[in-house]
Amino acid sequence: MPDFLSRPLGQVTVVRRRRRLTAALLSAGLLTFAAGCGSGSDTATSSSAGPSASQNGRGPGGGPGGGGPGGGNGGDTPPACTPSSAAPTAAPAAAVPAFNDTTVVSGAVTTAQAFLATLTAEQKKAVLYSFSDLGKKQCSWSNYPDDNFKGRLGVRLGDLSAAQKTAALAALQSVLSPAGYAQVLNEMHADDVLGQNETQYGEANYHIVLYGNPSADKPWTLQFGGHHVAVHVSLGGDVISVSPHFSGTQPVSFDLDGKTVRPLGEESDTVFPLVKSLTADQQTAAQLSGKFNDLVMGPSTDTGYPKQEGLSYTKLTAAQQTQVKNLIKDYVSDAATAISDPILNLYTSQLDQTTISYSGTVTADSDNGYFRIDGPRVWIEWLNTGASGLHYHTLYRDKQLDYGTGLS
Amino acid sequence: MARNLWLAGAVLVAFFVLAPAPAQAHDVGATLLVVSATDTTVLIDAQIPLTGIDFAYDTALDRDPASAIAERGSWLRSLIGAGAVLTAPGGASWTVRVDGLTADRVQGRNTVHAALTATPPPGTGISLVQLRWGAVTDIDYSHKVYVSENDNGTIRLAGTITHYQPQLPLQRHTPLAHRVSFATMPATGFQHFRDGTDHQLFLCLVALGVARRKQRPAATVRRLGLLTLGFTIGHSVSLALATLGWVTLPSRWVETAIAATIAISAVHAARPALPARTELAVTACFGLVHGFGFAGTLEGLSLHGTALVAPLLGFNLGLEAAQLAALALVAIPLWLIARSAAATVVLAAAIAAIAISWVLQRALGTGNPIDGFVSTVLGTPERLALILLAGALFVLAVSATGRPKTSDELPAARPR
Repeated sequence: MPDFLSRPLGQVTVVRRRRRLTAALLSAGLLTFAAGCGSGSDTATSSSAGPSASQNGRGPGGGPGGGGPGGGNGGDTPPACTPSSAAPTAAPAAAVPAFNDTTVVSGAVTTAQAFLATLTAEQKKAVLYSFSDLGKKQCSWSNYPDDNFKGRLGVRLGDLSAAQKTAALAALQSVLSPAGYAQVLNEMHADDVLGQNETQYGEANYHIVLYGNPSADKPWTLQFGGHHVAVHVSLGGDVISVSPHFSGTQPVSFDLDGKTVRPLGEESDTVFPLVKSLTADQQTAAQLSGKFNDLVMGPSTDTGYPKQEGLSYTKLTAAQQTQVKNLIKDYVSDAATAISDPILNLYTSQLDQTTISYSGTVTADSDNGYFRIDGPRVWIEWLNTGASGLHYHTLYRDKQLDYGTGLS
Repeated sequence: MARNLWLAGAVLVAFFVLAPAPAQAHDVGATLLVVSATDTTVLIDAQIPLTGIDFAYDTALDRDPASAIAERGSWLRSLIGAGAVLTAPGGASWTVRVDGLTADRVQGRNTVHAALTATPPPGTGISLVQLRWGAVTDIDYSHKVYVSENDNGTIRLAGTITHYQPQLPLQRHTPLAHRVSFATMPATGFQHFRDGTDHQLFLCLVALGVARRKQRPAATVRRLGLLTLGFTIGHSVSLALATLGWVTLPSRWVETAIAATIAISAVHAARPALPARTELAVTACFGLVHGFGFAGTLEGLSLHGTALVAPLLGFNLGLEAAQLAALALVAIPLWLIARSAAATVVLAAAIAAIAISWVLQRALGTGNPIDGFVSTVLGTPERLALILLAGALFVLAVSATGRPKTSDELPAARPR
């Protein structure tokens, strides 16, 4: 049976030799070309949402992870970060309280510069950002540990030499009060205890970042943070700002060198008795109608403050008022008092316009208890969270002065 | 652009499937919304964490998600539907319908996956719209809702909704020119076929099988046209069924089945044994299977409901165009290869080997040592055609050197 396909070729015999050569050369050339295409251009995905497509897929911009952790619809867990659209380069002058004591500023400049001097050029590049880069500040802190939050900047303590780490902690210490510095160290110790078998927990995973070159004349921000810790202190020029300040601790109490340590001991010894002391009438006014299992103004969610609600400071007993004042002081005075006192004085002057509110059961061992102090400027949130063993998430913010610039 | 659409889809799927659960349950879980616009509707794809619903409404859905969602479907539907309010600039509210409601998992957390379709009041365009969200956030004042927009395949964060900030304007992020519509979808369908090495290999095998029958050219072309049409009808039907939400199949088994159709077709192409009519029926059935695969990718784009008919049609048109273009590219090389029984067997065996590796990979979820090589070397229809052409020329060269009767040692298979 003659094959119609082969017939025309079978009849050609004269040019066979030449064609054979040409064909061989051609096919070799084509193969080379095809292989070249393969390695040269981008890798195509397999057809549909099958396994190979998943492996090869590279998405535009990592999806809505935004500046945060990067990933698909969500980014790895936490929060897609939406930075403020406004980019203020300085806080409204009226928002910054007057202050005179400049020794703490010059001391902080010295320690921060000393820290920078210990770094390699590469590390320095990783540590230094622009003071006016509000979006970076907003999107680089979190209560989550490093594995869950990939947005942290700067250098990790664990990547520093002993001398560099000492210099980094000295820079942090110089902008905090002794009590505030001790609290941060204790929160880091708590994390050591929490994550004894996991590398993402513990002191090594805390980061230090500088926004603006430390100087007495121009504003700069020191940011220090990791799991359950976010410190922002801004100073230089005419700026003082000591927020946002996130303090959390898990466990809430642990033994260190034979002593019991409670990083948020003083604060919890004030919050829980204060809420417990509220009368039925006070409760009615102070109770928020919603439920809370997260902070409202937590990391990556600068969505704007709620309208003020709750029980007015003026409706509190003298003892309760003292507790509220002490709580505010506990938070604000974590920063070096020379810069935090003027801010604290401002909040104290606004106490009559300040409220407290709560939701759920706010006791030492209750899950999802929520407490808030809300003033014209001061904002403090407290959450008992039980998601992974009961612990505390707490936050202090200033409605006009956060990050040294405010948000708008 | 269109390629991005698929990449975005793949990344979304990959992210949802592969993202590890947090080491500790620190994250209380946020609601994730992806908003897409068609010519006439706004589609909202919502992933709501069950722990969030349980906390807000004192339910216990998280314990047994699938049956809890089935049981409380109507309650969830009204909860989600009542909380989702879209408002036109004049203040008129849209009609919101909750179409699909399934148990899902996102980042190691159980979710209810809801597909919402919002239709504007008559006479209102869809360019300006304010979205208000209330499910969970009406009760849990600390719950966050991350809203993303599907801007022609690029998924980007539009903003955060909370109890205290329940509204988000959407029009800024959904420019009319970038909506998913009939006009934009052919390019997407075309690109999708281009990216699908498995569909291309299947098509090659169909063509190879036809060429092996060694009919006269006109008959060959007619036969090829008929089989391609059968395949097209098959995948159009299943694509429609799946995209409209009438049939849902687990993508893993669909993908495995697609790979299996390729392996079976490889055997058939090497030795076309089926009667012509049975062959057509089988090809159409295989088309059905491939159509579910196309739909699986569409689903990754958060598009649902009857409003998708026009985009779906556009998508299918693009797919067909790509299919014809690919056929045009590979027809001559395959025709040449089919002249040699040995070359046909080698080619079919190579494709079968690839297909079997996919079957194993997709069914067992294991790695695949040759997948990287395959997706690189056969990454586009052009590369596939080049390799086939090289093979064809090689066959030519060999057949030209040998005995006068080299071209076919095996008798041509006859229909039985």
